[in-house]
Amino acid sequence: MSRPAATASLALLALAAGSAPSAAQAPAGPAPAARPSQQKAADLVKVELVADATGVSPGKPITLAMKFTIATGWHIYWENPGEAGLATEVAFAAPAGYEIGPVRYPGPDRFQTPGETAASFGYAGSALLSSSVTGPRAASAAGPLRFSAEATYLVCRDMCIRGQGKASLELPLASRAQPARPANAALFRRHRAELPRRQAELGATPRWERDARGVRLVLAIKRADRVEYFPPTGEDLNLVGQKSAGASGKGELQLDYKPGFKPAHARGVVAVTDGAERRFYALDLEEKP
Amino acid sequence: MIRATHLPLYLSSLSLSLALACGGSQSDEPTATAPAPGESAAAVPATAQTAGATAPAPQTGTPAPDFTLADLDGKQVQLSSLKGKTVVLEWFNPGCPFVRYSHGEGPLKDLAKKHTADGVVWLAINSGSEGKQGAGAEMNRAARQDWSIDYPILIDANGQVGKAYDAKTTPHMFVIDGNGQIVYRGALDNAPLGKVPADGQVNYVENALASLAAGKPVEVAETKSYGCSVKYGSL
Repeated sequence: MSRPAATASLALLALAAGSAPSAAQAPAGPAPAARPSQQKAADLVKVELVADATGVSPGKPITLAMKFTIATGWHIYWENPGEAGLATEVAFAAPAGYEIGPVRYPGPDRFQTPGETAASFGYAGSALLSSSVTGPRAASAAGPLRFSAEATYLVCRDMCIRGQGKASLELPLASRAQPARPANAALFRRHRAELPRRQAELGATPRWERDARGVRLVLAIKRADRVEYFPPTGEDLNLVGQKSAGASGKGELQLDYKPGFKPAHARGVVAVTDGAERRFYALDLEEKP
Repeated sequence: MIRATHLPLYLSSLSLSLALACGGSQSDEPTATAPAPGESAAAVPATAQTAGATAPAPQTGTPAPDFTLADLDGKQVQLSSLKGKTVVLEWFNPGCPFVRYSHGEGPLKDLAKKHTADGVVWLAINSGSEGKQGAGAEMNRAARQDWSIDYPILIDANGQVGKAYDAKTTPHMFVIDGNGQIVYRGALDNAPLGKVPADGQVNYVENALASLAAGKPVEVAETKSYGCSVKYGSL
């Protein structure tokens, strides 16, 4: 019994839902306002590999970043996607002998479609995921150095589409004649400002309260109009409640954990908004009696 | 018209408060919401004091909320009538990439068939609101055909059953024992979209069913689910 119409509609969905190793380049075509079932990931997310220097000095690190440009209304995900979605991942590649550091994620925004119950964390507009790359002190070859990156992601609005993108970049080996200079300064300055800062910079006072029902971390934060908490991947089951408050000048974060979590350990990212500025801090606090 | 009849036999205090719950691990502060087409999706600033922990979802070791839902052929299925049997609930959306992978090439391709042969009752539930991705009888019938699903796909268009269980994603799995208790809730496995972690693939549902069959306690009773958000309608 054939049902060609039904199969065709599912085939359209397959196209949209991202048979993502998009061999065919997406044509410069319909804007994101086109019918959702015809969206392709490559139309919605552009990737570009950028570096913070014009060349590589032997033994001196540079920062590589995969720059994602996301169509209006859509978003991709943070390293913890939240309750739905899929973490964006980037794998950088460099010439032999180059060390590539861990991928760093800027602090995220929170997304929740009206009526839905799943909250997720990620990025809209644009985002950089970066790594520090350091080459050997004694450079073996003089030629241009090739760096590349491959990203996998899920891009969502009211529906989600799997995608992947590749980009590469060539940089010269710096020399006395052609020294390396900073590149994309403003872009990387903004990126560094969005990376989670060390906890000590938060200037927060932690207090732990434990009873039979559970353990609570109360974190008093100076100079906060708004406080947001983003849990790390895989830790959610111990966390049973959170409350964040901010009102001109004073902020507070409360995190509640199950009593069996002993000693409790609060991790994740805290976003503190003070006036126009929103900063992120890496939280890493172990329960002290 | 397919209607969901929700019988709150086990709900007691949970009832309607779950309709507003965001689940135990997240604050329900209303920050960024998905924008209308054409708007940027930046977070909406909010400075007010936010509420604390919301009403809890039904925990493992507690009774599974009863429900009566119609399948794609209009046949009513009532959970409490299945007492004595092991029941698996699979939150479903044929448009979601995680569901499409799972049924197309992943674990859900064969898992239900294997266990229903042993007397397990397997039910898919679509809590998508009318007009949202994956909702509607036609799309679900097409998926049933394409993926050879021979267990009921129940339509929960007003989302009441989904919210009673605090189903957040598709897939979101619940295993219920013969006494009507939830013994497992969470992810299907540890490999979203087939990405297997370094230590290897673990199928939590399969393990829970094996434990039940052997009369042993379920070792991993709860995990964080993964998938697309369940497409509940706007309140």
